[in-house]
Amino acid sequence: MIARSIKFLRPVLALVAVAMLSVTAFAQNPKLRLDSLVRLGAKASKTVEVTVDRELMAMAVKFLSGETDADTKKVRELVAGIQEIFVRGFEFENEGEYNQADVDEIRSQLSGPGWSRITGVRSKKGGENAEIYVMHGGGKVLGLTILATDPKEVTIVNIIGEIDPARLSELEGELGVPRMELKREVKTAPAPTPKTSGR
Amino acid sequence: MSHLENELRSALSREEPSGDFADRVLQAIPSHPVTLVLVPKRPRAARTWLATAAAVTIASGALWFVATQQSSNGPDIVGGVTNVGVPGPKNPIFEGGTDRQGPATTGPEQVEPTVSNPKSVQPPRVRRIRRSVPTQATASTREQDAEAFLAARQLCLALTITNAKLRVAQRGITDRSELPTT
Repeated sequence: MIARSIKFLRPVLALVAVAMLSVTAFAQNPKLRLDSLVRLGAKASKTVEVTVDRELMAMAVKFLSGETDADTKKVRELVAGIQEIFVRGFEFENEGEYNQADVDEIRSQLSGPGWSRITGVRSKKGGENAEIYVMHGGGKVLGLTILATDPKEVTIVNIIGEIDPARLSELEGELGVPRMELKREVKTAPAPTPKTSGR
Repeated sequence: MSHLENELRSALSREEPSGDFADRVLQAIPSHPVTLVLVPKRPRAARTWLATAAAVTIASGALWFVATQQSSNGPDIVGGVTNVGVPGPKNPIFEGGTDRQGPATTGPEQVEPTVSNPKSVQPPRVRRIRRSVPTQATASTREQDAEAFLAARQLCLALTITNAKLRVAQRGITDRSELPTT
């Protein structure tokens, strides 16, 4: 009797295990839902939306594969594992025009399964905040998200696929990626020129 | 007892068949050969496994369909840039851009990244992506090449912005490490 019930339960248990595995795999999706950012776009004075989906990525990689110089080769190696890139940037006229709640919806997705925060920088002085999240799976990177905010700006970069941030910084100054000046300029007022009288 | 024995002997005694017995047997054999196939009854376990496999297939197909639907419901603007700025010392993305007015544009044609030129440093080296197009190429090939070129520029722009934001994080970490210790 017990053996019969075990025999009957075996396929049912297998079905349940398959369903759970499917749900887990489906839940680990490095692609963020960016629909909630429409609210930010409505308030922003400037908006940047850059989307490189699989089709565009394939076309770009195909184009880059035709170039033979070393710089393009580096870019090609960097983007070899990337499937999609989504960039959303919003700039506001005044401070306090956007709510943290608008950004918290993105943060709630990044606190889900699979994502882990590797860097979080908060600057009280300038108000700049930068958070970097990575999703790992199967021993490799599945996605990278950068969330950068300051009182007048919100930028979200969502990369699906394998990317090495260290290699990205090596590309500075090549293939249209301009060099960045890290040190801030100190502006000094020019010395006043003495006036000569005409007597 | 002997009566019983006699009856048993007479019942079990051999009887010779009639003369036409062999002909009658041969006539009873059917003209077409009949093949007997023994079909074993399918075991209960096999039926259960078949049902399970069918259920798993249907569930997987439904999940795949839902995943495909969700991935296709992406952002409305694909490959479009409404306002693009230039990575600069203060505002990495929005410098040089224009105010958002009118509907968002689609297609990568609006992308034109320019580079700020601080006085204290040499002008950054910006390499334009150039690709030679053969003169004999058809119009469709040229269009594909142009689309691929624009896709590559779009990709470079996305990488530029990503790099800029990574620098923000790196700068924050660097500033922390340089704090004086008292």
